[in-house]
Amino acid sequence: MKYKPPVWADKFLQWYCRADLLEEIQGDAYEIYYRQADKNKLVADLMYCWNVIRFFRLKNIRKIKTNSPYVNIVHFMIILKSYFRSGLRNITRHLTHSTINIAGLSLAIGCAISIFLLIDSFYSLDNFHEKGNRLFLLTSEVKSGDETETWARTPYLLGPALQTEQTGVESMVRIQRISDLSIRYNEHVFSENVWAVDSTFFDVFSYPILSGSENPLSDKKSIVLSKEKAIQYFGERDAIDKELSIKFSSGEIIMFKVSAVVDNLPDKASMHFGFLIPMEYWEEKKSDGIINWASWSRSTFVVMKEGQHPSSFEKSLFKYQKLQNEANTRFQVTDINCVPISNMASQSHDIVDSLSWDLHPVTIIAVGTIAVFLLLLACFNYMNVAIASVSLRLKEIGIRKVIGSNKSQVILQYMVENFVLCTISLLSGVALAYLFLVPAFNSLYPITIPFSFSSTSTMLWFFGIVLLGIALISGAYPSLYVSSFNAVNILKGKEKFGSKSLFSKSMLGFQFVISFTTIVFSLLSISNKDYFEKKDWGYDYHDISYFPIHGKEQYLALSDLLSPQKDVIRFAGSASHIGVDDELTNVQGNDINFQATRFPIGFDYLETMNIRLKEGRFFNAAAEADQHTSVVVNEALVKKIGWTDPVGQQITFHGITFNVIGVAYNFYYEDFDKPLDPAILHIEPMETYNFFVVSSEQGSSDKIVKIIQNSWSNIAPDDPYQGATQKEVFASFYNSNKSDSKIMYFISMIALVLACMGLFGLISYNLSRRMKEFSIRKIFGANSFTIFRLMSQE
Amino acid sequence: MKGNYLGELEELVLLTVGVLYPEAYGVGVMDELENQTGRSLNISAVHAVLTRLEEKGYVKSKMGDPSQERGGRRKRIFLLTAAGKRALEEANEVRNQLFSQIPKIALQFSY
Repeated sequence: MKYKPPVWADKFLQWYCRADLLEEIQGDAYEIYYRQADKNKLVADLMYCWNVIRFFRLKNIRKIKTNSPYVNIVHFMIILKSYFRSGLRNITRHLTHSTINIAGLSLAIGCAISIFLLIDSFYSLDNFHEKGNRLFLLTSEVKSGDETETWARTPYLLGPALQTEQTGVESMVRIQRISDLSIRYNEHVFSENVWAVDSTFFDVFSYPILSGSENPLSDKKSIVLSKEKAIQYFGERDAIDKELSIKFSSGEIIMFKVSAVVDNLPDKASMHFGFLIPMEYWEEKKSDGIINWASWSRSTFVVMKEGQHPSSFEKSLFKYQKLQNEANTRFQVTDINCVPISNMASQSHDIVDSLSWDLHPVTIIAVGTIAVFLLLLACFNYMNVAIASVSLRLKEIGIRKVIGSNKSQVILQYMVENFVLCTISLLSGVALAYLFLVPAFNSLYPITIPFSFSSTSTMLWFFGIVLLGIALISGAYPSLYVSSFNAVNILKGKEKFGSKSLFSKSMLGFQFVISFTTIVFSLLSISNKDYFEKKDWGYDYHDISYFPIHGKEQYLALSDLLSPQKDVIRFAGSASHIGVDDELTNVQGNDINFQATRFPIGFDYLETMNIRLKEGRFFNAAAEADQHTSVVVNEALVKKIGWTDPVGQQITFHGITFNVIGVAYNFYYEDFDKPLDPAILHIEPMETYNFFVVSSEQGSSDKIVKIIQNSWSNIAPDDPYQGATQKEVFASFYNSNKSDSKIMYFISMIALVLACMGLFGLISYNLSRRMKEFSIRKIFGANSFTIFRLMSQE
Repeated sequence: MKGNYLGELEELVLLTVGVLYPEAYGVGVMDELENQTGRSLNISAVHAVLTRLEEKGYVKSKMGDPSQERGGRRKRIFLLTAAGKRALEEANEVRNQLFSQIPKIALQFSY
């Protein structure tokens, strides 16, 4: 025959067709094909294919061989399906217990997800810069005294020198942070931190410009705002080309024009800014006006050319170090290093004055450990409940074994059930994290954790590991335990449940230990919070309010405003303020040199602040000497020097000798945790006043604050209103460790809930196991109290 | 009656098997049916009907001789069985019986 039917169709027929039918079917198909092929080859081919397909009927298909791998897989799938079903039935049958188990596991998983997101987002900070792989932060190793520290500060002239002299450097940017500038737009005045930056800022970093010029720092009068600040000053209006005035510390007021609004990416960037102005202003406003190799730049970043690495100029850095060290003998730079920007956030804790948001590595380790610990706790809970629940399922296991399940199949069954439970928990854990835990964490931490992973593979790995890990840890022991029972003994009722192995006993013990630790821990963190609120500050802070001001005119204006108010008990001006502003000074007294905290104050300040006098007297406005050479000290200073009769003694600071006129009881002005340092208080003239302090009748401080706030724009139009009650100073102490302790509080509450759930689950299973016993006891007259006693004895 | 009910196509195929004696096989039955009744069937359908008839015991089969036009493969030759013969007779009988009972008047078409 000259024609042949399509080979693949023929092969397909031979593959599927039953051997005993193949000959006639193929024969018939060939006969038709040859008949047709003489007339038209193409039609014959198509018809042959069509016939092959039409012959593909159940009756003609060869039977699958029973020892083929397909069958095993199919059998396995059927078994798995059955296990899934019995797992789901078990979950729905013991709904209360399963709900507790699932709730506990999903709570722990939700926590782990949130914590993982936090850690993940922290380690992927600053990855958005387009030139990120070539972008480096310069740091210097600085020797000051005996200690060497890593500084984010580098010589101010280093950046430009590198750019002009080193061929590998593409560009660089320096950042200076100027704090507490008063920025004003019409009636809005706020105290702000401003970054003075080189015009290459947006060339180096990739912060997206939302509106305005593409090269916003080219003009000397331009200012760039972050999105948040634009809303704060201008609301929904377009900020571009609006004019802001900045009052520099010298008192000079300069107008700036908004040239761009920028998204500073709070989720992705570790450095956040509110305002950017050209670097010229920092150079001009520098207090001594000198720029040389002794000047510091707060941060310097360099971008290398494509394919270049900072190691190319590392050798020549020595030259610049020498220039710096000659100009500035106080701080010796011993080394200059380059930190890739992707590592900046994770290293910034070890870099002094880094502009990057930092999270202490210990915090990362701590929260990571807590996440694992919570997961383990939930796993142990589940494991113990699973072991306890075995007594209710002994017969099922016995029958399964009698019917022919072998040990590995029972293990598999338990693992599959466990897997079903873990998957449900994982899903509800994700929901819990999304709806509740991540928002809660965000409200506690200064950054926002986005509900997204840095990459899809990270997400898949994380969920895969969590699911498998939990399923294995919580399921391995119960399934081994269950499968080891002897079927005959179970069915004869000989298998005594309760003769637990050492392992399951220690698991139980472990769960109890963790549970009670967390309970104690949470109680402690609650009492810690109370400690701060009940602490004696050394003075009565309740009805004091304070207002940062600038100099004599504002002080006098405020005194005129408050004099007629009858709620005001007393007011005073001061150059410093307890709990807000002070400085360390070298003091000499009785031939001892030491550091003391200096408070330059005004008359009546101590009385207004309710500082308690131990001996001697406070300042008197009528006494001429009190204005220049009198000083009040605290108990700590007396103790430091060792005076027995302090009044009338002398101390020297700032080159002037002062007479001690009074001793005040100790008062807190810094952290409550630190021991109190010596403090000195002395009078300075009205021109230096930075604070206006008011003490008022009980409960009226809010009213005073309101009065001053309303007339603030008349008194100080260029300064922001920053008045506050003294109570809020306490808040700032508390805030420093508030977010950490709140997180701990939050997590320990979750651990507590988990621990309680575990115990509840265990007890309720024991109860159901002894249901018959209790029923019989009740029939014979036991009351609920007796049963309660029996339960608690266990 | 219901158990060995003979479908219309089955009856035709069974008849054809008898007609083609002793050389009735798949393609032959298909061709014969097309020639005699004008019904064009797919070969797989013919096979399905023949298999069904064999299961019901109306035909039996044996392998024939190899032939060149089938690429050297043998045919399966189908032969009527006694049960098949009886089934055909019954079917014929029922039909004739029913036909004969149609009143003459019903077959006189004046319209």
